[in-house]
Amino acid sequence: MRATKRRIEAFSFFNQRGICAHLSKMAEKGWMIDRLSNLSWVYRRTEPQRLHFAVSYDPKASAFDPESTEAQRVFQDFCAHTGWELACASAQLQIFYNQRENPTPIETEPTLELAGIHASAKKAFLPPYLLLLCIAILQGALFVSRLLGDPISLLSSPAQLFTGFCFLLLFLLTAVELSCYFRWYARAKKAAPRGEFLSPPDTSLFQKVILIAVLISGVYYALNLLLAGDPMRRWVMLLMCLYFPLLYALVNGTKAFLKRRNASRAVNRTLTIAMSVLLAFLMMGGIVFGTLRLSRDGFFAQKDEETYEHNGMTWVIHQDELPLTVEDLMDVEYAGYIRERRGEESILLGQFELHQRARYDAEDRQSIPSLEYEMVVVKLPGLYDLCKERLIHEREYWRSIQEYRYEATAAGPWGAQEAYQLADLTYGPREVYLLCYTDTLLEIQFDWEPTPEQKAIVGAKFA
Amino acid sequence: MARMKFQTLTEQMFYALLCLKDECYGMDILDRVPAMTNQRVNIGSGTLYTLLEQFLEAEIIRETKVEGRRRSYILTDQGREMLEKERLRIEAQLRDYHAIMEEEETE
Repeated sequence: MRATKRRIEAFSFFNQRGICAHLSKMAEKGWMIDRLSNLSWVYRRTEPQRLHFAVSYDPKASAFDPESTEAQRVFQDFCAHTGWELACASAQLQIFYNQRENPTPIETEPTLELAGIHASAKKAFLPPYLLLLCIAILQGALFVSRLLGDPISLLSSPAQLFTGFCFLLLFLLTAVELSCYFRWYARAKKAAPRGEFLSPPDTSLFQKVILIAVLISGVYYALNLLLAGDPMRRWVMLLMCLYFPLLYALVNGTKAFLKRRNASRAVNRTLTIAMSVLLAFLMMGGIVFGTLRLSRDGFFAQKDEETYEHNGMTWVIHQDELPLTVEDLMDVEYAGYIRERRGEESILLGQFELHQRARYDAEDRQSIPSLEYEMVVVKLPGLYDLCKERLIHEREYWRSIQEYRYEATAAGPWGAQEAYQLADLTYGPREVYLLCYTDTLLEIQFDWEPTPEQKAIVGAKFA
Repeated sequence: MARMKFQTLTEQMFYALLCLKDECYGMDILDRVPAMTNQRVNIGSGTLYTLLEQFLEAEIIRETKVEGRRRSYILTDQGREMLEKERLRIEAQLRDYHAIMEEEETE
């Protein structure tokens, strides 16, 4: 039977009633709280017993103290006098337990108790949560800005969607926790002079839901990357999965080491913060430069990829599957085509750039027909019109509105619901078309004028 | 601001200060208060710790002895004055109570 176990507990910093009730239940089941860490609580096996728990807040304490301060020891002596023994402490939080039947609570004056909680919250809870809220709002603003600027790229990127979703959850978590705290504190402050201590609200369930949402979206993102991502992205994801836990372990290890060496609070805090900044930059720098170096050395190239040399550069001969090829549209004798498909897809959209072109070292390359098209696969019907409008007006964002414009053209020959042809206002229509199918938007470029038969073939492929 | 904070004493403050009429270890107050009030008033250990800190800062009490982590305190003149004012306030309340209640009885 295990002697210890770890649990991720989701209690607000100020929810001491909820914490005490939970610890009492755990003690009845034979698990005694042993220590609190940033990520989990550690319990040790003990005889099942009925215990009373109390949480005390010490605003003068710090996570960087090498050991209990003199004042804390005096406080603990006071508590021990009435049967309250210290179970564990973590920064401003101290947890006591009592074996007596009806012990006198540690705090019997609501005004003082509330003042202690608020003073501790101002040090340990409010600043980080306010900072995280600001970061979440900033990231949210950036997300909205990117959504307005290039919605197709954003919504088809699992990485950006995952990140955006995580920051949304962060916003919800911090906003709810902070508003709960300030609402509770205002009401508790009014109740305290009447001798009444108002219990804080319990947001544990809400926090667990947030955590589960993060885990599920993280698993989805990881699976997406493993199954559909390219080798370099998988490599980066693996490194990032190692980066954060390793950074956390090293920084906490530094803090613990300095505590064991009895370094003062100021020295410990300074060195730990310095180490965390230094390690974060060094490790991330290592990941970035190492990945670029490996990419340059061909580490991520598919093993069976062929290459050729032209004008002093190495070119990969891609042979990706393309839904529409030059051979579908006409008879061609050239056999050295490069077929390349790039892009990514999320649960909302897929955006792909597909090319079929001759090798750069081909003879008479200009006369060999090529094909280029961009496909937007719309999985959420509500996004269809947004994507269509974006593609219609996209070129207007690149250059001045007078130079390019999509103009409606006959959709029937293409088998499409709608069709647009790009018009260069100076040189006339170009062989660039935007075709709207049921769940696919196709922007296709020809270097010849397509015949009605070729248009029908395109329609047959995508309709 | 410290004077304003202690303008009216709570019951726990009152009995804690009463215990310090004579030199007394801080921790012993936890036993003396229930004893002198027939278990009616109990001060929490954390509350007493905070009160003693605040009393010291307001110079209502002073430290007399330090033996390791055990400290003893006694009221200052300011503290005695504060306790005396509280006594007068309570007695005035009691007189008002009797006056009103006896008036009702004679009616």
